[in-house]
Amino acid sequence: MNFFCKKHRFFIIVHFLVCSATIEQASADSLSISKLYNNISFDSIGRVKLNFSGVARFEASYRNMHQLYGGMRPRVIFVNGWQNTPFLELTCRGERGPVKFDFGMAFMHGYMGFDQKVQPSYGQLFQRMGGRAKVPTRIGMVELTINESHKLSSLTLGANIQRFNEFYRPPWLWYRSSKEQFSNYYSNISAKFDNRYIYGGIQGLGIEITELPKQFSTTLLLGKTAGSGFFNNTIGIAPAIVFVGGKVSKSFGRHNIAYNSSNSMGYEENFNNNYKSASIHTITSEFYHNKFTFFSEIGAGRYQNVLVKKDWNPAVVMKMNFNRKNFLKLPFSVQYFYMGRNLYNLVSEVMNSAVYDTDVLGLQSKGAYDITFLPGLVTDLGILTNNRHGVNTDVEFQIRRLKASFGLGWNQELSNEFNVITFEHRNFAAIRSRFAFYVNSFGPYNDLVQFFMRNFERIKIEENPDSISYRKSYNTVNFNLKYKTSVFGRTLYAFNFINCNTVSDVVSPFPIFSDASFFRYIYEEATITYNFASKFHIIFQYGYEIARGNKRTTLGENGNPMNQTGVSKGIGLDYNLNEIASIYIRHTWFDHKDKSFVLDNLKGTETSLEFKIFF
Amino acid sequence: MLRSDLKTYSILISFCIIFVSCRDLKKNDVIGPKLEVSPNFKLLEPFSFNLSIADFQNYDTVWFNALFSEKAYWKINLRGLNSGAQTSFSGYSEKLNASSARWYGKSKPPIKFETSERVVAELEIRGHETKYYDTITKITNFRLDGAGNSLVNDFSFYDYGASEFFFLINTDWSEHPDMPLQKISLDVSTSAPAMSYLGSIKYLAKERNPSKPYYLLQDQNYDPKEVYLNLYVLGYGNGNNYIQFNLLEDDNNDQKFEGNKFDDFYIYDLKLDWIGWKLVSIPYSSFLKSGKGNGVQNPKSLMGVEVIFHNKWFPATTDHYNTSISFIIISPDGPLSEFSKN
Amino acid sequence: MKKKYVFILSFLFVINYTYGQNKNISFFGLHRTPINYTTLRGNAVSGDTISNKQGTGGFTFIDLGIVGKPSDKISATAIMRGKNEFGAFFNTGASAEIRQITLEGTIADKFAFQVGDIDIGLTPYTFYNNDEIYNTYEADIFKIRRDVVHYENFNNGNKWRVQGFDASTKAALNKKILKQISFRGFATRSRANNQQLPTTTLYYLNPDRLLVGGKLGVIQSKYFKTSGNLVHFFDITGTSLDSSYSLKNTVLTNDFEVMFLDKQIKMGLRGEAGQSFYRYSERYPLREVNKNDYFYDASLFVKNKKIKLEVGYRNVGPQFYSPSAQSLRIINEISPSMFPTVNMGNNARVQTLLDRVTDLNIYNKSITQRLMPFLPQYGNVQPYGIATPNRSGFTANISNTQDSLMNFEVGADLLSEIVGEGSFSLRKFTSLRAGNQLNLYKLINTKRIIQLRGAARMENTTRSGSVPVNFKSLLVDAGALFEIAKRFDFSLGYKYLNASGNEYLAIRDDFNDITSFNTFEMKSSQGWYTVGLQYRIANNSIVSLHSNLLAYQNKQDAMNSFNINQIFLFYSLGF
Repeated sequence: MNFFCKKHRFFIIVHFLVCSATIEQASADSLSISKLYNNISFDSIGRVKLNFSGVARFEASYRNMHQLYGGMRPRVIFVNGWQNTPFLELTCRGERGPVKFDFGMAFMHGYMGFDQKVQPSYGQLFQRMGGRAKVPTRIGMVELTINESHKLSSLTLGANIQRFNEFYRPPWLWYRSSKEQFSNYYSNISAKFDNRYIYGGIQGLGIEITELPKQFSTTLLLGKTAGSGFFNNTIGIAPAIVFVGGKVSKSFGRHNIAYNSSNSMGYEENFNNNYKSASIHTITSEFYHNKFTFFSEIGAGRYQNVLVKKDWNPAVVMKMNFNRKNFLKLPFSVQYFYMGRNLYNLVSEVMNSAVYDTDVLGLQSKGAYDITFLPGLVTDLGILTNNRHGVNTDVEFQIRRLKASFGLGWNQELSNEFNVITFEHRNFAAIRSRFAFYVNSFGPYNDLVQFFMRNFERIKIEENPDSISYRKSYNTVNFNLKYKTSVFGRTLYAFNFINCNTVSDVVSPFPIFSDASFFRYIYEEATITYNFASKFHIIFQYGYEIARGNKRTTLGENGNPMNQTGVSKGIGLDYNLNEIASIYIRHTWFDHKDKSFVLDNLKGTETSLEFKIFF
Repeated sequence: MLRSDLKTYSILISFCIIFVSCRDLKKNDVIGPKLEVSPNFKLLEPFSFNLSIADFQNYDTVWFNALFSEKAYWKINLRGLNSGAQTSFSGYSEKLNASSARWYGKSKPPIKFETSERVVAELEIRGHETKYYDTITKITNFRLDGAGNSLVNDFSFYDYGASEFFFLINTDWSEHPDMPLQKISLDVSTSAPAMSYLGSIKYLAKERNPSKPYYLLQDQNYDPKEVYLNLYVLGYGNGNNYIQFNLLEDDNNDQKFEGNKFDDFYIYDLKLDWIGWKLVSIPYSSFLKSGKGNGVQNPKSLMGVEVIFHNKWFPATTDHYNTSISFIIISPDGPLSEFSKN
Repeated sequence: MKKKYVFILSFLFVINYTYGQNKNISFFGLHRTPINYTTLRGNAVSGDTISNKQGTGGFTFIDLGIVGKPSDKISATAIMRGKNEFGAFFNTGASAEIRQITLEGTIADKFAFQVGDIDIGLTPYTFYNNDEIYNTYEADIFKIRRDVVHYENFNNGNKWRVQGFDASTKAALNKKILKQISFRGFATRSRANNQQLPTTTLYYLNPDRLLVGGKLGVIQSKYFKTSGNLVHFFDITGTSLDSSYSLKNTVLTNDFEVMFLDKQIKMGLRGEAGQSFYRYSERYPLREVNKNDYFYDASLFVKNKKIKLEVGYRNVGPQFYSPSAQSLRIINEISPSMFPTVNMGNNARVQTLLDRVTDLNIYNKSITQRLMPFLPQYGNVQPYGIATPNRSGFTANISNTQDSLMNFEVGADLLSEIVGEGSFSLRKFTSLRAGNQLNLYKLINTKRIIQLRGAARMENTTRSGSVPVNFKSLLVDAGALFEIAKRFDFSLGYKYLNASGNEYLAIRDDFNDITSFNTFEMKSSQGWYTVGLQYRIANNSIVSLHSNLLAYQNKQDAMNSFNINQIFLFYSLGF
């Protein structure tokens, strides 16, 4: 029988209309906020429809260290983790006629207590307010934003992208259940970076006009970006900087070409004329073919302050993603990039490993808190940094339920600016990042950089800079395995991730795992999750990390170079109470030692409890 | 039903009685220091003034001596036999000495002790019936003619905001330099070889102009040769140490002291080679220039006084050296005059 | 075909249901504006050119509460405040802050929980926020002022506002043996060492301090119920670098109620007994103190529908320490924020009745391990509530049980110290209190509110021997409320406090040891007269205008007497 006969179509339409009317009625009657809006002089045609949603999250962590760095407290209790982790986020979405808008608020609660001997309670902070409104106009769809995140292009406006460990839950994780989280992670074959977190925040105004004639669209942004300090603050990570940026884009069906611009400008302090500015202009293109896609971003950027004025340096990123229809029958990608030395943009995906944002007035207080500069950074596959050029490749394959990806990358400095290598500690990184917040000289040897949920360490090459004729060469290998199976009728996932990095003074397509390299790093991470009951998941994780220097790097107390080993073991339990609320428990044992630098010794445990509600 | 409950509960009550017998204190215990003395209390050394005649103009300080058989709450009442002026001191200790209570000649308002008056001291011990007496003759008052000058008071450690300073508005002023409120004690040793205090003279007293804070000598151009830094210094005669005074200027008038960038400061080293209190007056013109300001002494922009007590010790010694300073006064028209009248 | 039809309809229904989620958000709020003009006069400020003698102050705020209730089982509440202090232009005095964020709900229909800013109270010996003074029958016009401060200070009844979580569950059992068993547990953080780097003294010195506890309750039948209460207040060693001090204070009690008669006349025995274990140590210099002590409190009560009589005996040990029951609501050792000094700025002004009812800056929100200093004139018999240590004796109370023409209460405490404080002689305490409210509108059968109130509290503390103590205080309250037109009230209020005599006030260190005594002598009286008009706009909304005069007379030193005159305008709107 034809389902879509007249009778049935009629019935479906009536049902839908009845339900919609019911909902609109419910919207108007139940919300007392409508009473507030009665006093606002809106156009008398139509009514405001509002929809609220939000997330409430309580997280408490207890860290107990048996071996620790000097100056650290042996026991720490965190509530809501980082200082900027909200306890409650509310979003209100509304419609008024053709206009759609939303605004959000976030509140933090530090559980500081009311003890007046120490400090008055400031545990509750009003953290963020932003919003957007979308209005269809004759020229196109105009969207106005205030204090929202945007992405222009990788080099102009975005955020440092990183791989998050699925065991340590970042605060903004928006999966409502563990099932959803792990199934989604399994679905992405390669160890790709989380594309949800690629936007850069703007405190200011944004105007985006889409659906212009001839498939044009444009974006204009004006405000301040992360890390740019406050209007009155002269001691911050970066000076008081205003950001002006934008994009003009033209689409050709699925293909697209755009001009992007990012300009930061400001003064060192409020009463002098020590200006700083950084600009990047690029052209991006996206081309889609049935066998491949091609992305490119080509442009130039420069940096200047009152002392120096740098030349424009080129920036080139090109990437081709091939699907299975190629000769290998496997998806793979190839990326080439060239980032000039003077490319300096703290609000893009490009990490800064070459430009030292020197404080021209020599204020010491900025130095310790400047985490924007990571000299000689060892980058992961696909991560961009200035003063480099290189090639990255990635191939994926699947054998039944086993998914795998293998990535190989090489890049090299354009000029040897610093005799320093900065590498990332991936093992129990979230825990490490909470040892101290936003400083660049932490640890017994003052060489640890504390980032947001990340931790870096610097290692120095002890050679006379005048005698150096090489440019450092970086190699990376990533190998990712994901497997899904069923045990006693319940889903079990097993994930394994291996990351290897080397830094040497010779060019090689493959990592050199020997003393010939200045630096070698291996990280192995194995995770198993098992959905042993309908609402419960148990998770195990094992992490192992090795970092080695060679004789040309700084030697430790025993006359030998860096020789680090780190182990972490974690166990977790997730309880999904219902479709909107869950409890997550994690416990980690961690241990890190350096045989050469004896003070670099950590051992302890961390337990955390998280309670999250979506509404 | 009810009876079985009572039965059950009576067992619980019995348990509680056993349970509640854990109390550390017993019935005849006393918590806190004893307010009353024992019946055997007595004076082991008699109660007396340290001096028989007090010449406060000569920096005399008066205290009391006594030794008790046990710690006691004591109160000393002073009364002038002519004027009827009164004052009192109290404390809790086993003896009376220079650190228990000191008298600088003052009385509780409104009546003052007169010159050449006999003053009687009465010692009361709480919980003890007997009272003890001694007398002293007060022949002079300490006086300081401070009219028109500016006292830098209430120092704090490198905190501009906390210090205060006010005009002396009353010429009939008899604060002894040893008075705790005025005095700063400086103590150094090998482990802490320097001690400094910083006083801001940025904001003027409310009597002058409450709505507009401005610098001390901003009204007119004073001659640095006529502007003096005056203070009382308690020397101990060793001569190995010195006090450094820094007078700070705000040359670029940004209400901040930036000696490494925009402002001058001027230094004077005072060697301590005398014993006892002494009024020291140093002309601003004798201070030596430092800092990165305009290079010119400008009393109009004086914004702070810094006092640093240095210890120049012989390498082997671990001695402590201490001194005290009191009444730091900036006078714009010559050195401070002491004892203008009595 | 039928299956597809059902599927499509269900799909449409699900979409529509999901879109309709916004009906689970609701709002509430409070808008208040207090404004006052106050002057200080009298001998204490005569010729004074330094102390403040007049001022106008006020602010307006709106507290907006949002309740999100995604399901019947869970809700999230946030109360945001926008405040504007008067005295600055162009919003320079404006601020925004969060007053409260709380999640609450049930798990598996068995456990109820709250997380965030929560209010907790147990028994008066374990977790209790004592009233600042006897004020049950004070005039309505004073209650309005007191409610403003209580709201600001999060004083909801006798509970403490804390930050943490609280969960409870109960189970009905075999009714023949046990009717119900319940359990409650909570954990809160009283102090956080959130200093991140070793660059501040706080990083080294102050460890995290937690307050955890619970209650296990058993209802055996309507004749017998009992519960065990535990409160543990402790520092986590290692959360500050030096761990320069460490506190562990545990209070364990058992409370019970036994009914002998449960008919028209009910008679029973209720009480509580327990022990405290106090340990405090410091490193510099090294010293550790352990103090254990107990208490018991039992009372016999008889009540019927109209009246209730209770007679009891209590014994609270001198070293019974229960910080969450003994911390005071007011910080007694600081000057009021309004006119803090007198006598040319040389003397701190004493706290008066007016300050203690209206000054938020002297109110305390924190639970402290050290017994806080108190002012004897405001309460010398039981300054820390019924958990005041070193008290034993008889108490009695008679009151009516239901609202009637006259509500009254009469009570007496005849207590004495258990061990002497600074002396072998023991203090004796006598406290008599009485209060009554006469609802005249019931007598003359009118719908207009006509109400009279009166109360008095007399305290007497004596000690004989070589360090005698003789301290008396008399607190009198009187008030009247007349509804002169519909929703329009005229009210009068009078408070009088007379205190005279001498006392020795204990000065305690962080170990709760008494290190010395301050001799306290007082001969003063203060009278607070107030008259006001009030319009009740709606159930939760009023606007009122008060005129206040407080006359403080220091009979020992007339130069320290003063008067405070205040005009107070107040607007409050609840929605």
